Amino acid sequence: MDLSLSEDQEMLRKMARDFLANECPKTLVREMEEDEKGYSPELWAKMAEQGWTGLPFPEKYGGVGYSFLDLAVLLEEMGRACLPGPYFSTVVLAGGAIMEAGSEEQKQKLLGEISEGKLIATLALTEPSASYKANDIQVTAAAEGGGHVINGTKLFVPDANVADVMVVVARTGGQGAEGLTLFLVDPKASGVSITQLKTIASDKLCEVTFDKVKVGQDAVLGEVGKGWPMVETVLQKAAVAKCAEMVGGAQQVLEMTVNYSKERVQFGRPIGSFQAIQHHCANMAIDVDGSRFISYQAAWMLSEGMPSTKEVAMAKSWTSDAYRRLTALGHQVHGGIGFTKDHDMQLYYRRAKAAEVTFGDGDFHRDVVASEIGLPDPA
Amino acid sequence: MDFRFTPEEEAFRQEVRDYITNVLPPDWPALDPIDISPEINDFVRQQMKVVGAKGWLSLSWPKEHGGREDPMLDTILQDELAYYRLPVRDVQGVGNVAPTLIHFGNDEQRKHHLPTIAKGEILWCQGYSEPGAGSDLAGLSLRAVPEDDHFTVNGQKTWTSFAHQADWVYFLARSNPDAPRHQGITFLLADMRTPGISVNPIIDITGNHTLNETFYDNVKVPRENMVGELNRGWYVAVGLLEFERSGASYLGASRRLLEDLVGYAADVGLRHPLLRKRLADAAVELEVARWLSYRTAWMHQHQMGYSLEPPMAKVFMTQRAGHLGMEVLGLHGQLERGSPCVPLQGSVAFLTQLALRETILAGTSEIQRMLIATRGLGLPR
Ligand SMILES: Cc1cc2nc3c(=O)[nH]c(=O)nc-3n(C[C@H](O)[C@H](O)[C@H](O)COP(=O)(O)OP(=O)(O)OC[C@H]3O[C@@H](n4cnc5c(N)ncnc54)[C@H](O)[C@@H]3O)c2cc1C
Repeated sequence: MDLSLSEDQEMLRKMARDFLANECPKTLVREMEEDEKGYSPELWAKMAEQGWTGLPFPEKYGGVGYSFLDLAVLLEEMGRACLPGPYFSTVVLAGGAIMEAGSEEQKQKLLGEISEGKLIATLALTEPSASYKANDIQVTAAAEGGGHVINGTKLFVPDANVADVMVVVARTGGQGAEGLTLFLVDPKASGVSITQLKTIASDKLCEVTFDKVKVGQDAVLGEVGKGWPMVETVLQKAAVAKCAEMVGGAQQVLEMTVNYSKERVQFGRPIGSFQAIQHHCANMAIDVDGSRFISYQAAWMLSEGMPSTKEVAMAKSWTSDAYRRLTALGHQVHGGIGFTKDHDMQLYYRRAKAAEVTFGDGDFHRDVVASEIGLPDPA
Repeated sequence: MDFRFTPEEEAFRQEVRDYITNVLPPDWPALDPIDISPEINDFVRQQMKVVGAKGWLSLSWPKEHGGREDPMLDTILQDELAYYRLPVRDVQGVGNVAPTLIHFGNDEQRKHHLPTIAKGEILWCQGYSEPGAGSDLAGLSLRAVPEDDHFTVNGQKTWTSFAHQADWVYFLARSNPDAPRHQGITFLLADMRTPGISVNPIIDITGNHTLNETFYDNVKVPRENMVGELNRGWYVAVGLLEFERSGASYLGASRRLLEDLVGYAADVGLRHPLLRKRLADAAVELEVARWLSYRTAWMHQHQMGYSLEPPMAKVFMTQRAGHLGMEVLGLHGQLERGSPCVPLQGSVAFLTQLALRETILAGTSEIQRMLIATRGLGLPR
């Protein structure tokens, strides 16, 4: 058992923290919330220079060859800094899908370009049904003249507004998990229209509609009809990657709150000397540590390629709820000031709420846990 | 990072399980993982010696004192014993007295007491709380007047778990009433057969006798039974808090209950979505608890100092599951052991009551949270 980060991971963490403290101040975070694109191309270039955009991809594809656990360490820091932009969509989602499903050639090209910081990508998976289940995928791709024609609507697609390529999950036949295929689609292709949604976290989620969008044979990522298992793997990693971000945010909220309660004086003493406040802080600390272990356990298992359906579901169900609880308590301790737009607490609370429902909320994952521990199927 | 136990640790866990499942009689009646109730007393006292002979009661002690210097194994042992509800590791003797003597005792005391603890020959009890001193332990008033070769002790302790079975007691006494509170306390040991010590049962909510009042009436405690220095007992007691404190016995107990409930739900075919959610919740909480608990063992193994970790493990672990059993079993949950139609040996009705004690004993959850906030997070007192 070793519950500490390796020396290299500690170094990565420190470098990331310093880098983001300099390059991603809260002024930038706020600016990007209002920005049409939602990210800073200069910062993106610098991140690519640091090797971040290629971090988890093998060196032979132009990446850095770090593990998923290493990536989790980086994502934790990004969560702490509220880093805006398409890193998650590009590296975790689209990059993950390409790694899982792509041909050698596709990997060479696409992962190479992502690693160089030249390609922004995303995964178009969920639909108006707002479901992460195979059953609910209704966007269709009909075979036609050696290629396919895609029709339907994707919803909650992150960063489609700036993506150079989208990995689109579409039904080429069959039912449920059978007959789902991944396609590489150019967002500028004719028949694709993209509308930005307005979201609680002010991130860039989009509605993407496909109206008779023609793609060639080379647009297929992996094999026709065999896409879903790849998506499942990506979703598992995405859920845990989201947990890592949440852990970083949670740690930061705890620190902000503890510091504030040492400074803020009422009744002639720091509010941190009041026991009610101490208990709030203690409960927050418990939630940070609990989330950290259960999330890193899942990240470690995925990194080692161990079967981890149960642990992933445990991590996301716990961390989703814990991060929400913790940000709410943080606000309570901050009193009125935390309710203002000027204060940084709100940045975390809004992101916590978004993260909670992304890649399955607590109940979604508890349902998985229930089956994994051997409970009979629901009535 | 590596969230695995080593092969040796896994093998040890298996060895413990094999031992227990081989030796445990069918229909083992114990439901409380720490109570050596009269019906299991003979068996448990005999098995204490068996596990003592295996070296399992001194797993985390330094090698020079005959231990294995492996707190992880000790934690695994506690986890498994609690799961099977076999109380052969004396919480007080193995968990508290031995490390105290190793760190603060003298050679004589170690030579006298460590072997009997390691061999599972005697039981210890803890005389800390008094009617007027619970959470505020430093307010204790039991008097120990130092005289030439002994102390004369007068006063009362309460909530002394298993005093009626214990062979020895360790306790805190006020040796200098004029000094500031924390600086007039001495840490003492006494043979429970010393004239003047008497024990009066307190029956707990479940109807069991585990608690006692203990009275000290002109009890002569030899000077050599003082641990650490005169009037420095508070610091011995506080130092004791630094020892292995994983709360693994709560963990084993919760794991058992959850497994029983899941098994019940599967057998009876309980499929209600809300029930699934509750049990899944409990499973996730248990997993979090597992890491908060084993983290302390891991830190201990690597000689890292504790700050907020042990209170965190205790608060978290004990806040769980008090109501889960009855939620799953519904009307059947109220049936007590021995009743017709009772599922799971009546463990649910029993443990539902027992859960109340866990957030109180060994420092209430409020006190633990205070420790997390002040010691751990540095909030002002
Ligand atoms: C089953 C059981 C077994 C026990 N076994 C032993 C034993 O073997 N030996 C032994 O010495 N003792 C034992 N105890 C005693 C135990 O340690 C005390 O009960 C415990 O420390 C609390 O003390 P109290 O009961 O006097 O409650 P109090 O201290 O009176 O507390 C009452 C309430 O006030 C709260 N409170 C008190 N002070 C504060 C504060 N500063 N801030 C906020 N809240 C506060 C408490 O958290 C609690 O909710 C046992 C208790 C139980 C229930």
